[in-house]
Amino acid sequence: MERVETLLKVRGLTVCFPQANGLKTVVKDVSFDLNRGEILGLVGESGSGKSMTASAICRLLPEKAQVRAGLVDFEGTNLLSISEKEMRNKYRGKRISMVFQDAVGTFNPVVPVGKQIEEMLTLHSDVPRKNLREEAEKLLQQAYISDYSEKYGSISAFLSGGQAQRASIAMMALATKPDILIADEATTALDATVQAQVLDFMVKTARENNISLILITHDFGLVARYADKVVVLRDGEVAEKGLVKDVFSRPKSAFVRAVLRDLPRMDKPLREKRSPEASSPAVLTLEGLHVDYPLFKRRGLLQRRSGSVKAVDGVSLTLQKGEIFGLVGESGSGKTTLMRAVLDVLPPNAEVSGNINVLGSDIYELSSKDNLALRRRIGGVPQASRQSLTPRMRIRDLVGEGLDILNLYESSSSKGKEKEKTERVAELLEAVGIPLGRMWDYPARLSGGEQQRIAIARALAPNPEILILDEPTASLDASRKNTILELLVRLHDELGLTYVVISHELSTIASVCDTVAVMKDGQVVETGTPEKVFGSPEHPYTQKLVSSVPVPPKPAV
Amino acid sequence: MRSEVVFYAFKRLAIFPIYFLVFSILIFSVVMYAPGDPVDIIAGPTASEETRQLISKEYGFDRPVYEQYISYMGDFMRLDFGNSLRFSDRSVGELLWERVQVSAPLGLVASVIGVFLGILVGLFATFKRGTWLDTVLLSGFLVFAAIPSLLLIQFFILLFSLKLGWLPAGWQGGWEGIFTTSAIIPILTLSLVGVVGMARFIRTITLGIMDEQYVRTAKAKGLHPAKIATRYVLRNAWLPLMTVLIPIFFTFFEGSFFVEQIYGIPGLARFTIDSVFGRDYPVILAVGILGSMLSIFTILVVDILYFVADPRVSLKR
Repeated sequence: MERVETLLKVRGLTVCFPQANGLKTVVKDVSFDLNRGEILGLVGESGSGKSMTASAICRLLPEKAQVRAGLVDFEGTNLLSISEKEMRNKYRGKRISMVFQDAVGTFNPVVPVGKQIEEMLTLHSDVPRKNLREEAEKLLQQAYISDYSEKYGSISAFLSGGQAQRASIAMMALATKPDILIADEATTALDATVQAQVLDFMVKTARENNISLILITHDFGLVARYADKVVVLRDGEVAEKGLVKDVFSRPKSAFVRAVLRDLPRMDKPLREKRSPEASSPAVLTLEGLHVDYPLFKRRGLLQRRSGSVKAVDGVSLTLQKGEIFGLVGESGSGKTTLMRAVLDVLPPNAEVSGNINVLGSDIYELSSKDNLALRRRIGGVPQASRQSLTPRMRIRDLVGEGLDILNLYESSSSKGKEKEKTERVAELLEAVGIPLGRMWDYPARLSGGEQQRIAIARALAPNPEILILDEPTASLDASRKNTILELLVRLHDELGLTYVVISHELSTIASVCDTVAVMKDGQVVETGTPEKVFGSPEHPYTQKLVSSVPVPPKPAV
Repeated sequence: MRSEVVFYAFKRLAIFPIYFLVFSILIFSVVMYAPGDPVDIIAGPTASEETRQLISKEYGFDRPVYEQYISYMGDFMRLDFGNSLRFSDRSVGELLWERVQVSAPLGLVASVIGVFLGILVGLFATFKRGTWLDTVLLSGFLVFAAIPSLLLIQFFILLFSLKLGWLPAGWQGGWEGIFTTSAIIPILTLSLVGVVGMARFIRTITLGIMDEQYVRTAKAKGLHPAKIATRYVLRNAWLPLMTVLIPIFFTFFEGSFFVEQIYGIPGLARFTIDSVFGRDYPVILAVGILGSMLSIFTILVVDILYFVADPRVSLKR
């Protein structure tokens, strides 16, 4: 057995924010130990204080935040009591380093990536000046960036999300080999397979260099897969901590038990699935759909068409009435373009060929009037519900806007219309579980989950028959994912809707969908029931996708 | 990358002749159709109808306006702006050049000081945000922006010249006046007026940058705040700053209309005002067209510089 060396002791850490009515405690009496070379998962939902805890260790809290109590003991030194200068010169970056969620944004956008790695080397290592470039390129190479010489000189905007995060790990951890690396939601924004690559690289870097890793995440599955120890935070307090295998298999706290129970799971459907043999009329049919975006190349002063980006490359699908159809794939696979084609909201330079038949009519052959009439029968809930809610419109007007646009009123007087609108919006809010009192609020006052509900209510306003939901659970905490999915299932059953659910989260798809199609590079590579597609994937891409998803731990009952 | 820049520059500058045409026609028509007959000025109030017609023919005022425009622009292209009506023996080009030699150095020095001071105050306010210094600095300089420059310069004359007797109360000499103590009061006035706008602009931009992830990362690297300020904050503030710098220089020029008038500076602004009142239309035309061309040209150049300096612009297109 190796000798266990405790590197970091956090004791009674309490962080407050001043507010209009006194102090708000965001981290309350948090204590844990971190041993050398260990991987610790700091997990909790948004607002649970996990990022604040990490920032407090590095003393990078927002200026308004105050550490009210506690101790951060790093090899016998209390980091909270030393001077800022000492912290900067001796610890930050050198002994304790951090990587963040926004990997592309972590680099100065106008300075070459390689130069920023060199900056780190200059600060904390004794690499001689003339070898800086060589060393920086070597670090990029170690971060699996194949064209490392070229990427050394390019700005971060030219890096993909995965490349940027690996480069940032190279800069913040590989370059200086700190004792502790804190990864603050470092893979949250990445696709499943990329997330797995980045995490594997990060864990490898930590293990090989004996770096202790603090993984901050909201993803319990990720902690279960990678961490040795876990600290579960809830409302700023430690709900439970211990070895991963103990906490997840025999959770002591009611909170962790409830979270584990509520996680959307591949093997836990939220509804009774239709039998694959059942048949009902087709409501949406795609036949050989292609969506291309033209590419131009410049020759001298003239631009010439040089080819196309095939966003959707020959997709044929049929949706039956009442079906919940899932579409999975990573960013760039064409899911969203497909949805936009069906909703007829593609950018003007898109070139479409093939047929889209919605409720019996081919949408590209309709007159604009008939097309408008069809619009009310097919609705969409866009991906980022927060951005899709105009901040200066009240909830009532946001939800009821579709009624105005399509003029779905019985009365002709404006007063009568207003009354109908209020009544209909009240009905919708009740259906999605938003208190009627919020009707006159602005969207900024709502939480992420509530905003998602508003976006759903808005799509339901014209009484559509088909609803296309783009990443309905992507931005939500685990426990809220489930409530939104349950809401969607209830609405589906009550209103007899047909859904297309687009998601990169296999668990979301598996828990509600009757059928799933896996997309890659604009093509559907595999279709079938989620049980079949995810349980025994046939296509190599599906296999890779399924294996890279961290499986949420299942508590022993 | 290089050919990208050349292509973009070419594209932007190709628009310039169109602007030139539109603005010159606009300015020409405004001056030509403005009330007041130039013949009155040349001939004087007592001239006979015969003399007036002779003059009208001689100067070409009897021809249709579009013909006048074409012949005027023909001369304009050869940098011949005609002769002044008020100083009938002197060419407009010569008169303007004399004034530009006085105004340009004055404006340049004042705006460089103003912009530099503005950046300094703005950055300082950002790093001291939320403290009393932030508030005092910005509201302090706001006073200078709120007081019109014509009052501000009178205040300075009153204080430094009349009360304390440290500085002269008026401009000394022609273009060489910039080297005398008499340049201090106008430069002080002109630069102070611009400082606050600049400072607020810088503060807004840099406050936004301070919240960017790359600034947090720079802190997490253990970088010294001064290095973060220059390498990260200023380096990124410079881009939006470039787009407003040129308009800001023109604001300084506007301020000089009052300052030149009050301080007795024989500069371009004062000359323009006198020419407007004296209906010296060749001067007004030349100043109007040259001025608008200069501002359009500099804005186009800034666009190109921005393209060169920001590697992301080419991505977005």
